Amino acid sequence: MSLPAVKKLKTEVRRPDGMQRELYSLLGENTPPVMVVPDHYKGKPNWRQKATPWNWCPFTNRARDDSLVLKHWVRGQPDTDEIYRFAKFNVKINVPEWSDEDYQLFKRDEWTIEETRYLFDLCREFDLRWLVIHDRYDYQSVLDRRSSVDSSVEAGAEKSDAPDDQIQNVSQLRTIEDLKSRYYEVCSALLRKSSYLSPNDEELLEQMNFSKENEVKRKAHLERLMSRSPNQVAEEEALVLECRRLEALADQMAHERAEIISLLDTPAATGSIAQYQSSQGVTSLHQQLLAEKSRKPKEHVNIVNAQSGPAFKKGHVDEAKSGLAAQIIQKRLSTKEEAAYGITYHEKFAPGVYLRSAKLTTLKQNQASRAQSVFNELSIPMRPIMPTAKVAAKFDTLLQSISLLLDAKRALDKIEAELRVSKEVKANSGS
Amino acid sequence: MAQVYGADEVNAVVLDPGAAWTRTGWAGEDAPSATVSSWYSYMKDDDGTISRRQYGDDIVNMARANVEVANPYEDGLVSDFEAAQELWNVALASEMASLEDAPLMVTQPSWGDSSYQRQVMEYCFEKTKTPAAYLAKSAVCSLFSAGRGSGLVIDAGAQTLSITPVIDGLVLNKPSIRTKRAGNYLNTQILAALTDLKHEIVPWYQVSKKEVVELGEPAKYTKKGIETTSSYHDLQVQRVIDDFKESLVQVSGVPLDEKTETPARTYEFPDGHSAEFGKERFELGESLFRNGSDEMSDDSENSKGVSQLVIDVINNCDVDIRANLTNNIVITGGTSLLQGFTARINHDLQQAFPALKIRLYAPGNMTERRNASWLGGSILASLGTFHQLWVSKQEWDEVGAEQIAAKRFR
Repeated sequence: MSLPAVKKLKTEVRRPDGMQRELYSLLGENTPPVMVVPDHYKGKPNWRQKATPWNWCPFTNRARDDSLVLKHWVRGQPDTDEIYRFAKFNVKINVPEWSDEDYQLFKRDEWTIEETRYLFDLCREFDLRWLVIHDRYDYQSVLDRRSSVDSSVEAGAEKSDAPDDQIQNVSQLRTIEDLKSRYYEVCSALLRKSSYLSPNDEELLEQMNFSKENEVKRKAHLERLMSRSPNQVAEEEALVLECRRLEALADQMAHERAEIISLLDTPAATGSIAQYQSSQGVTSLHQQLLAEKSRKPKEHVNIVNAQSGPAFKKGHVDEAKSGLAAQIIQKRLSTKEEAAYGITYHEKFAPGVYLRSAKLTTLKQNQASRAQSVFNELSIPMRPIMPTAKVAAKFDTLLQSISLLLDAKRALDKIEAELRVSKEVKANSGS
Repeated sequence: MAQVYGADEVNAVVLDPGAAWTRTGWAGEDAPSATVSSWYSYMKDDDGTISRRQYGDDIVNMARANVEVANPYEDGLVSDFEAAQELWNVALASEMASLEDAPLMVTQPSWGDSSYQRQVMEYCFEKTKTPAAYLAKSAVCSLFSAGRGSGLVIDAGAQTLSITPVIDGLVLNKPSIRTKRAGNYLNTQILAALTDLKHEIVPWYQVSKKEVVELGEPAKYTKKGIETTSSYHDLQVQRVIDDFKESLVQVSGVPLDEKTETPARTYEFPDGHSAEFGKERFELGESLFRNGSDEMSDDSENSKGVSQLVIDVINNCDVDIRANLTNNIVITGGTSLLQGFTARINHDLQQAFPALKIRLYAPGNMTERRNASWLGGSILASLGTFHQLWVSKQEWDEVGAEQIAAKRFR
């Protein structure tokens, strides 16, 4: 009764054709997962606990100057002393303050004290975002407003002198670099004013070195870079790719060369040479080497003796035999004799013992199956039964010609197919 | 956890007034809760004074005798504050009661000057009971809605199309450009083209009955005998044109020439007659992009196509930020929903700046595209770090209207 059951177990489902072996091996019986799953339900949640309520609470923001009260949601009981948690993000950049006396340090013809103050106010307001400062920079309107006020207050003062006009014109054309260089000029002058500079200040002073010319040059360069034509961009990209390729090639070459050199290199000394550096050491080394030299042949002899000891007689016969063979080889044999004696000449021997059949040429995977059918047609086995040297050589040439033949046939098939297609195309286009 | 999240709801209200639509809603939500047409209807008393303004698109579109319609906006800004304030009251109707302890954020175009800002702030503090208010530039808000702080905003609205570079949430005023080549301009072009093609536009309100006619046949319909004002009629004609624009007009992916393929589509007018439009569809779309328009050639900004203006704006910006701008281009506004609009801008920019990476952000979601500035305002007004920027009533009273506009919103 148990026989059918056993049989059932043994009949494995055959792998369906076309299914990959890897995929097939994933199928099969579902083994249970390794993880241990506890077989009980999740515990009942504790509903009794009261949920923390959210309260709609008023708050004040420390980042504000006034006492605006807004309301927001707070979890649990509101903490009245708590500082509004977003207030700490109100960070301002420290723009230095200066007095009218300080102005003498950085007085310039093209800047008035009012305009410098105006610049600093903007810097403070926009946290040194130069693009925005430059965008909002409109000293002209400030001047206009002031002059209108002036003229209304004291009409006869006649404030608009020639230099003032000049300054007005200049202030209209201030570039972003002008503003930056003025700001950093003033800041560095203020830093230098103090007799003692902390390392921090020194570093700051170093950073204040603003070169207007360099900045203008850099921007001009960037502009040129951006105004490249599509062809130029494409060419540059191609060049960069080519460069990368060459670099990779050079890396590879260097790597290979390093490998070869490491192969050629003599093994590095492992021990220290300190003990041989004194004259005494050299002498002892010399003696050691001499001793080794004299010892080596002796050892060799000993080994030979030890080997030949028990099988002395056989060795003797071998020697006599090898002497005979040497004589024959030296005699220079004809090819017929060579074949008779089974003598072959090799350029190089692979180490170890091997079967001649293992040295037969093997075809590539895709060719092998087709070669198989050819062999079947010829009713020759895929492997020669008796791979003597002659048979093996013949078999090799046969294999090679079969593979050549197959290649040629494939090429022919391809060309014929192409021919057929183009004929069809021609026929279709003709009709 | 809350710090990472960064938001802190204070139940702010966001008002986004636009020339076509006025949007209101609670900050922190993803779409406005009310979208009201910016048009209103009114009647004139015997002595010529305007009375009984009515708001809401169902009222405005109702055909009535002696009822005029008007729009309180011009060039994207409010031109008639009296009407606009009433309109905003209507749009804010559901939030008005809560404004007693909710701050109010109003978006404004970046070209609104300090007197404009003063008037809007006056509305906030005098017509509503809000404890604090703020004016946010709509370009900045659109950029925020795309999750960016710096970039270039192309806002194609009804009355104006503006191109605004923004750095760290601050508008660069000098390189900003706006043009009248926007939705309404396109409407006038469409009207002119349809008149040239001898298509009479009969708005829906005039059609009481119509028959099916073959393509190209004249219309067979019965006209409703309603006497309306010319302003009402014009608005209704514009609505038909809007429909025509939304369903037919397309922008060609490359500059239009003789070889461009222009597949035809049919359109059925409200009176029942239908016609096929092929090349016209694309030529109308092209009118936004073609340089040197004949009728607007007096104005240098209006004589350039949209793409050329974008290129000009980018070139007028500092060379350091150009790459940043082209990499963060946000396209918003109803007119940008024209078929092929963004693709064309992308194509033209890529031609103009081969060395720069062009990346456009134009949400496919229609609600988001149309309400981008409201959405950005909603995001901004619900940020914890923003609450220090509200202009409080106290500050308004102490500092004064003139100073607030000059100091806080420049």
